[in-house]
Amino acid sequence: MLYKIPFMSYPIKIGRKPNIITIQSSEAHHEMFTTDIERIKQFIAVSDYPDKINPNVILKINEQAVRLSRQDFTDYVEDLDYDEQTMMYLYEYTVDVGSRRRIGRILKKLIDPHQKCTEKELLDLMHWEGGNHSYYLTMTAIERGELV
Amino acid sequence: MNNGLNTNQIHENVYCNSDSYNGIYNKNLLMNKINRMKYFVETQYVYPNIQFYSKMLRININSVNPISQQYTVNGEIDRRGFKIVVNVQHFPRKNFIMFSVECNYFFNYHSNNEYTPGPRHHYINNNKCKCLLSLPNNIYTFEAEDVNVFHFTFHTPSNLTPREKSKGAFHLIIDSLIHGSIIPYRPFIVDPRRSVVPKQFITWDMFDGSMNSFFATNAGVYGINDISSFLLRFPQQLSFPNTPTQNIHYINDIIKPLYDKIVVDILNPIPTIPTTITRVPPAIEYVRTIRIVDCSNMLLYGLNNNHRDPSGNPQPGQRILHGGRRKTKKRRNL
Repeated sequence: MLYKIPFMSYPIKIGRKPNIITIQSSEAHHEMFTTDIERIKQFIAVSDYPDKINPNVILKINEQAVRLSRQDFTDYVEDLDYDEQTMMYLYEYTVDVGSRRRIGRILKKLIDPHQKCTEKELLDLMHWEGGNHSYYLTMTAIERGELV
Repeated sequence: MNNGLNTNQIHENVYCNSDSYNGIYNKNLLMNKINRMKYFVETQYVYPNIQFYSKMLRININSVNPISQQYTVNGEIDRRGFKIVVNVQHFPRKNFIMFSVECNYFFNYHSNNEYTPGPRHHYINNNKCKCLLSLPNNIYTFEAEDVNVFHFTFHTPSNLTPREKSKGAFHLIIDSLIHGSIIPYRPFIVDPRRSVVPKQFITWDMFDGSMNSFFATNAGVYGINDISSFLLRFPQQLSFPNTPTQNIHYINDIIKPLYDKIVVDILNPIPTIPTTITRVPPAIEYVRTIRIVDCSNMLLYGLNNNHRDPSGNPQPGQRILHGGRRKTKKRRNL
């Protein structure tokens, strides 16, 4: 069965006033793993942590994200150094609209050397990041008319 | 996991000996071996047993032939795309390594409520999902959020303070057998009953009833969530068919061999590696009525018992783990 029903969409606001970017929900997965450096810079500019994210690192990671399978991307992420991994989490958090508040609290702990994440929190963070990439792969497969 | 023990002797022991077994928490030592195990687990314990997992996790779909066993219940139609992945994740500055087996799947859902496809989460029949598509006749396509089947965690607190290290632990958590808020677990602990050097971790079958009150961390819950006590208290079906002629028992055929493999291939060899200076503390019995013996009241293991490490060198003043009469008043390694 092929799914060719057009995507419904709703606007999503990212960032805080006065800097807000509006994206369409149907495009959210593309935005998170965009390989457009200017778009990456725009999202970083409205992030809560603009000085902690290097756009070139995000570009490098996203270029792998769009071509690797979920398992291969997980392995690739595992080989990143800690700062790059953290930038990736912070960037995905900026663009994500799924579970922002809880993930935001975990990320605050993650970047704070004086705070310790619980096992459950790190597990949630891992699932959230894996889920983002999995969602991207699924949506792009659907857009190509492939079976879910 | 509930924090059922306020403190125990191991907490104090790790605090006292916090520098002497840093080697076991060395990141590369564990990561290299755990990464090598990933492929083995996928090919031996995950992919060949996909039918078993589908039944055991009550997802009840057949990934090989999705047409023959469609799952339709509680508004869910045609669960499909069931897959299991093995992940290794490392949070270096949080001193934490996780080896997890996870699953997810897709399904259609008939509902008079309106769902808009997008990255927001929804709960369908208590499962966290994302809506992917809106189809005609009030049918929506969802992807279930990744769910942990079970995971091994290795807290690696080498660069933490002694007090923080006392919470360090290696353990298995069997997420899929959760009952209410209680998740069964089994710690990896060094056998306190054997005096051989180097110390050996307990394999699954050696973890008998006499070990139920022994802990390697204060994260356990006394008498409840070790897997043996847990299954006695909350019995559940653990054996499911994988093929028409083969039944698989979740604990005996999957969890136990993996647990033992980690013990034998990863944990037990660590103290024997010449480059590590590691003395693994045995688990300690939790006795509610006995006062915790603090560092200053512990015996110096090497000085009093004249024990030697495998290379023949006397062990430096590591404090023994059972407490005892006051033999030294001077704190070391603090």
